[in-house]
Amino acid sequence: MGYGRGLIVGHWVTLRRFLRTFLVGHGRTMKRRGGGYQPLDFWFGKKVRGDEPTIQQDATTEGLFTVEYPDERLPVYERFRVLPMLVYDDVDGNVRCTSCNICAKVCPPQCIWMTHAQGPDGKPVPLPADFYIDMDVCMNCGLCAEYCPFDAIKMDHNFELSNYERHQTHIFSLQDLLVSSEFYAKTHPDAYDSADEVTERNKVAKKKDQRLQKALGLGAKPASTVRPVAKVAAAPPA
Amino acid sequence: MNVACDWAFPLVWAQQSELDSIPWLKWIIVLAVVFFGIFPGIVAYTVWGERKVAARFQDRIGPNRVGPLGLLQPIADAIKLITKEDLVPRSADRWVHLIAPVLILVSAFLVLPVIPFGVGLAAVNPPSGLIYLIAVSSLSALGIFLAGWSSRNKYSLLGAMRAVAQLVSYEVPQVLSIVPIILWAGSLSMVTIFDKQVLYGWFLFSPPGMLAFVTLTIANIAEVNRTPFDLPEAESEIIAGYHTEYSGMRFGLFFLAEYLSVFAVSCLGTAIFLGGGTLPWPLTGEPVVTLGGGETLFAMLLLNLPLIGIFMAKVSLYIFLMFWIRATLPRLRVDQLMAFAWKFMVPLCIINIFISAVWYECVIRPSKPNYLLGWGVTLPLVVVSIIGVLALYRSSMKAEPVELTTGSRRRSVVRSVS
Ligand code: SF4
Ligand code: SF4
Repeated sequence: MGYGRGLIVGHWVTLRRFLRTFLVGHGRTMKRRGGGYQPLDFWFGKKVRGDEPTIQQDATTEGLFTVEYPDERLPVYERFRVLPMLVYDDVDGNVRCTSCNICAKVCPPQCIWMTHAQGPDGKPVPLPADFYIDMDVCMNCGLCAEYCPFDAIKMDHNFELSNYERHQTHIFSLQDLLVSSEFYAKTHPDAYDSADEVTERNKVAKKKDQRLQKALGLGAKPASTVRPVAKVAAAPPA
Repeated sequence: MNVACDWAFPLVWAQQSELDSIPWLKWIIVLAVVFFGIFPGIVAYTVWGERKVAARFQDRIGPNRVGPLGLLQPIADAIKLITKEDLVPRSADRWVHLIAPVLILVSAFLVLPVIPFGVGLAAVNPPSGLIYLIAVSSLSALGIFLAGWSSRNKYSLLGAMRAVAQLVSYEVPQVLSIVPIILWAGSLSMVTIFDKQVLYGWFLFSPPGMLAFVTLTIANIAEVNRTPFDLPEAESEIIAGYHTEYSGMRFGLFFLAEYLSVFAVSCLGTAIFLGGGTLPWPLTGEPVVTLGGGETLFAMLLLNLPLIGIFMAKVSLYIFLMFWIRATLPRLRVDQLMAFAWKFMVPLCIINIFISAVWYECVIRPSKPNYLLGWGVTLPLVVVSIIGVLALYRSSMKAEPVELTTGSRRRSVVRSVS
């Protein structure tokens, strides 16, 4: 039981924090700046959207902690996951998805639905004609990506999804969900290069190619001449 | 030179012997500039400073989006407050609801004219300046109570009740810690107090002076309802207390008044303990001694600019002290608040008056001041009295609350059973 010792120590602690924001970390300089950090802040000096500097912070950061979000951003790590995306192979333009409906079945809030594509003869083709995800309902759990047997659906990193209108724009269709495998390789380099995915990719590519050709009744046509499926999806068969 | 010093208060009409030929016009211009320009500006940038400082205390940056370093933020806030809808609750007492914030603001403004910002820069110099100051600053309690009462809202009323209890309690130690100054200066006039400090150095530099300064600061913080004494507007308990039902510019007036009174009490503390605009001990009364004496406009400017600069620096430090305390201490409970005022502050202040009388006998009254004797006698007295009052206060605090809570809880249990 001291006479006001706690008072004095407490005031010292807060004063120390106050001073340290000027003495250590990025508060010491004017180098890191969001908007309004410089004495004069001009709009044309700003970085383009998406090009903003990324700030590395961890438990050892001292002084100012603020990351001025739209002008600076925290790094996005590979296993960070927001909405799913559908991957197509940019070698041949094939959508990997076979419309097997597994993801739609495992999705806990049931926000995926799709229709099978049909070949010229009216038979179903292992491709999605339409593929929808209600992004208001999706809870970013990633189960769809875990269950997909063809590595076709993967989790995206883009979390800036706000919109002025919700009924039209928040139902993501095939067009909104498709990304190239190159994009996927860029955002998820570790996963893309892992042994698992490499072998899986090779296996699936071979199998799927055969099935596709069989379904389209094209016999032994080489894979490279198959019409890019992305375009098929853009104008689905009536 | 008169333009600079005549700014604030119609009482001057009665006192001034040489009125200009167009005094009305001059007064209107001066009032417009000072009341609608300088003081709101000071308030606006105190708010900005508080937000910046509080942010740094929490490892944040603070406002930095509107203008360079967020400097235009207060202007944006003012525009927002002015253009917002002014709501009055249907069951509120319209006129009282309207008058209450104005009353608080007037109280904060009326403190300022007697503050000697520099030589000849106190707008009015009534011989009983300190009494006047205490009187007008206690007007705000009335305004706060009217605000809470007229809103017809239980939270407002609770806040107002707390505010009145707190303001009335802390006015006592506030006045009692000013008494040593009156004793030493032999006058109630703020200007005389300033002149005495130019001659003898700051009143802070004595053991009873330091103790009185500390108690005055605590009482000041309580008077302007700032953390840890912000019970009247404790947002986690009673929404916003007495100004819960205010919106738009009426709320803005409360805001203005709060920060203006922060500025005013800081000016008070600076003027009576920190020697106004003078420098500390080795350079006692410095800018006045070397630069003073001139009668021309230029000489007055040369003297008063550094004086005002030093005064404002001291006021800023005092305000920073308040921000610092706010960033550190949590809110007191009501019973702690009352006990602290009546069981600790008041006895300590009363004892301190006697100690300052000893200091007066040792240092100020003799023609040749005996500082060594003064420090030697009063310092142990101050230390002993602080420890003694603190020990008494602690022992009294230990016994009571325990009994209170268990007793009342048992009673409520019994009532619910029966
Ligand atoms: S991430 Fe989860 S909720 Fe979203 S679509 Fe996939 S399975 Fe459904
Ligand atoms: S994304 Fe995968 S799991 Fe879902 S339908 Fe397509 S292939 Fe099947």
